[in-house]
Order: sequence, then C-alpha cells, then structure tokens
Amino acid sequence: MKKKAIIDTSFWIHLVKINLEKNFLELYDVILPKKVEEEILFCNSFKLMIYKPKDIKIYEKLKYENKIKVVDPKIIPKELSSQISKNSGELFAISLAKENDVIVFIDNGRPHTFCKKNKIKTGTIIDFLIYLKEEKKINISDIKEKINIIKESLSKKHLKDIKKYINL
Amino acid sequence: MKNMKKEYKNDKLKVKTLRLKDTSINLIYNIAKEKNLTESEYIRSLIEKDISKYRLKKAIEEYKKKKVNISEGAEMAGLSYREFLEKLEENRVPLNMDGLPISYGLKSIKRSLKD
Repeated sequence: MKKKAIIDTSFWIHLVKINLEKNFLELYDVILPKKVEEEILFCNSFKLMIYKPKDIKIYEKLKYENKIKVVDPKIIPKELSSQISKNSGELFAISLAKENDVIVFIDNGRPHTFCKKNKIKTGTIIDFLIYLKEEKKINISDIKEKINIIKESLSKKHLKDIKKYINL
Repeated sequence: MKNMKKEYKNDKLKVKTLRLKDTSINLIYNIAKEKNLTESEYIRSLIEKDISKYRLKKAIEEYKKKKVNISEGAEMAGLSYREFLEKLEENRVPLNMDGLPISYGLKSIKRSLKD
C-alpha cells in the first residue's frame, strides 16, 4: 500500500515542471487541502486562462481519476496560525500533516522551522530529487537537468549545499 | 497593504481633480485618441499600471525579507499564487527553501515511506 503525502502549491508546480509527478505518484497517495487546490487552479490572468499550465491539466486529470484527494484539517494549531497567514495553503497543508502524521512537501521555507519543532515530516522538491537519485531512480545528469530548470528559485547557498550533498 | 486587493476590487469610480502641465494634457489627448481610449480611461490605466508595479515591488521586498510567504505576497501584489511565483522567478528571487538542511528532508522522506 502506498504512503500518503500532503503537497503544497509551489511543490506541485515544481514537481510537474521537472516532470517527476509520475515518480511521486508511484510512491505516494496525494492529499491536499481545499485552499491548496484553489491556489493550484486559480488563474486570473488572461494569458494563463488561454494557455492552461501543464500542472493544472495534470492535476485535473488526476483528480478526475481519483488519484488526488482533497481533505481539510479538522483543527488549525494556534501556534501555526499565529505564524502563517490564515489565508494561505501552507497553513492548511501543515495542519493536515500534523493531524495525520503524514509528510508534507512544501517549497517555501518559513514553515519548515515549525515542522521541525513539531516533529512533522517535511521535504522540498530538492529533497525529493536527491531521494530519487539515492534510490537510483534518476541519474546525475537527470538531476543536473532538473535543477537547471528550477535554478532561479534556488538561492546560491542552497545550490552550493545541493552540489556539496550530491558531489556535483 | 494585505487588504488592498479586496478594497481595490470593490472600489467604485470617484472623481479626483489633478493639475497637469499643458504639454502633458496635449500628449494625453493624442495618446488616448491613438489608443482608442477616453482621456480618463488612459490616465486611469497609467495610474493602475504604476500601482500594480508598486504593489509587486513591495510584495517582493517583503518576501525577500521573509516577512511574508508566497500566498501573502501574492495577496499583497494583487496576483494569484502562481502569478506571484512566476514574478519571483522572473525577478530571480529565490524561494525561501533553504531553511532546513537537506538531511532533514531526506530523513523525513525515508521515514514517511517506512512508517
């Protein structure tokens, strides 16, 4: 039986951008709160309405096939709501992860400290990439190529850490 | 600033008087005509464009200072989550993803698949 994982918007967008959604779905059953779904699907610009992003198309397909479930947390921890905006998907994603003792994938660092403090399992797109490399599901040239796609979203320090970690 | 988007959307048009130089008035007349807009539509579009630019700049600054997350930044800028994410990328602003060491994330993934 597959394990469950909760995703946040930025993680999903990056995952599809680097074409790793299939690898992710092989390992995990994906759950996300309603707010994250809204963030994924909401496009208010004309350009995005016409050229629907690939990750939205894939999301809609997977949702239709019941491969993605939308679940909201029962409780939002007070400590968390004082740190993160009430209107953000992260708040719901982390609350759901805490409630169900499930990993949460978030590509935005601010809530990571909360996750660590509360022993919530958490990862980013980079952690997932490195995991796949360690498991030999992807090779070193794949990892280079994929990091190159999202390099604008990575700080110099982070890039240096990644290179050091995987001996690039 | 965070509530700006909502307020701005619900705003009705009101009258605001402003003084302009003669040359500007002539230019506004000619440009508006060329763009097939009324002068007031053209001036409004200029102001709105600059306000959007200002809001985005502010939101990016706050994101860089780690004072807001992507959702909050998007709200401040009056954009959707993915539009703000795109703007961060366009402006080469890295995501605050390096808060935790890679080892913590890797350990989490391994534990999540084992548990």
